[in-house]
Amino acid sequence: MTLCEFVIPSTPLTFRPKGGILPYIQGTSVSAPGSALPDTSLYPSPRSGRLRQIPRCARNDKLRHYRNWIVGRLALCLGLLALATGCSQSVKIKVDTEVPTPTVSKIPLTMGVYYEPALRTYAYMEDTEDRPDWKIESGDSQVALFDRILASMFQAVTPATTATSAAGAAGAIAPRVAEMQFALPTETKTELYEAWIKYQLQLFDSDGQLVAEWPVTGYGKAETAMLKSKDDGLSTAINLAMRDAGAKLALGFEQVPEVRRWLAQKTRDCKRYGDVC
Amino acid sequence: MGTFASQRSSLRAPYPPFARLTRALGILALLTGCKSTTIIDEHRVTETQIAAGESVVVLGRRSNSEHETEVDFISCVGENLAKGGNPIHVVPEKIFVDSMYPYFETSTAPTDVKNLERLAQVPEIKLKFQEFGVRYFVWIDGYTETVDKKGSISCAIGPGGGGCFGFATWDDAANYEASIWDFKELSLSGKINTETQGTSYMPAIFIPVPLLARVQSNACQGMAEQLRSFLN
Repeated sequence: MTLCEFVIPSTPLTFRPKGGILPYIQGTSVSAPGSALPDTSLYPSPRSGRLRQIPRCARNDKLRHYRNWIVGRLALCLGLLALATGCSQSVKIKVDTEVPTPTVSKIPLTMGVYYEPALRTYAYMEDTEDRPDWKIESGDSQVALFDRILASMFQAVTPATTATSAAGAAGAIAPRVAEMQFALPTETKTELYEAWIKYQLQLFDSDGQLVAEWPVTGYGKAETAMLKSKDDGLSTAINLAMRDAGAKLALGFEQVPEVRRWLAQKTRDCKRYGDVC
Repeated sequence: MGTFASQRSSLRAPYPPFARLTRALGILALLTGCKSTTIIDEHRVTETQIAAGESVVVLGRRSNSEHETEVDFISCVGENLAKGGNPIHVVPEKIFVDSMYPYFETSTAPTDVKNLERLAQVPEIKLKFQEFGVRYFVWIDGYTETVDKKGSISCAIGPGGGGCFGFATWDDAANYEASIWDFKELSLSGKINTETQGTSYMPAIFIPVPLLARVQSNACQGMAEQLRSFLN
């Protein structure tokens, strides 16, 4: 959609188009014609935009008006454009999260990981009155997050074709996004963009039996800043929420009681898992 | 004398009245405003002395639900500590937090010295601390906010041009508290509190002219100087 079309003349006009307010004018730079003007020249009127013939004696004043008219129009167009883009309610984000490699001691097991298609292509979508046309794609980042975190937690990680069949691995982990929520500064009356993400993780034994299922949540917030768009604010909050979830997964995995018992059984490491050995 | 008066008159003539008014308002605002005052309190628990080869990490607390300690304030304090007459080696916050992931995230960071002691028992973390040569942790909690606003500025735009007219003023307040942890002694060394307040002005005659009180910047410099004297 063209919000505002504006063509700036650079040469004096010597023709009148049929019925149009603005004639078709060549050039794009704001440059007032010099003194070498023809005796009669046509310029758009500052008020109506209609072409008017300017006598030589009044030319300097008219040129000033003409310049003001151009600058005014340009400012008006820019203002309209800024209003249109600044007040837009829609959100289109492709999340690009990168978390650091966790510094945790590795569990001496080979673990399978299964990413269901819904996780690989995860997109938060909402189309309501307050949030029309929201689409936040994070599938690639979800996979990258779990790849990075799980690789640092286990001795080896192998991709599994299904959650219940992890060939050559002690078991398989299958994460999925259970919920994603956002809050905007206008909604919470704070100066923060907030994101909250909840994952549901499942651990399957090598024979396909479900060992444990537990939630991992992440929260992120980003302060509003001048010249920072809503998309930027939300992206930062989502990145921090995913980073937080990754940290909680890395530190909390061995603390889930069912997981801890299973790890003690698989690793036979009673020094590490003495409380459940 | 008469010649001098006429020269002055001829010099003044080309300036439009608005320009003179803008200048007068600007000078008035500069003379009367843009002031900021900083109050620093220090509470020392133990003696501190940073040695050669030892580092300081300046970190921001971001657990407040409505505000968070600004990243640029933390880096400002770190940069100010690292320069000047008696520089201290400072590990940048992002490098440290990324390197320590996932132990120094907002939800996982140690909240007191006892937690730091437990964390230091993790072999990987102990090794990282040694690599950085960390002696002191400085945890800064606080924020800068606008506490009061007065006046108004109206801007208009039309085919003949545009401009603004009015006068606005606002008060900013910065309140930060730094807790200094001694990693070697595993104890709280002390606390430093800075409170800075300042008023900014913005007269506008055609163009808004911001005359800003550097509240956060002054709080940063005050905090850094006090930390420097605390640690040396």
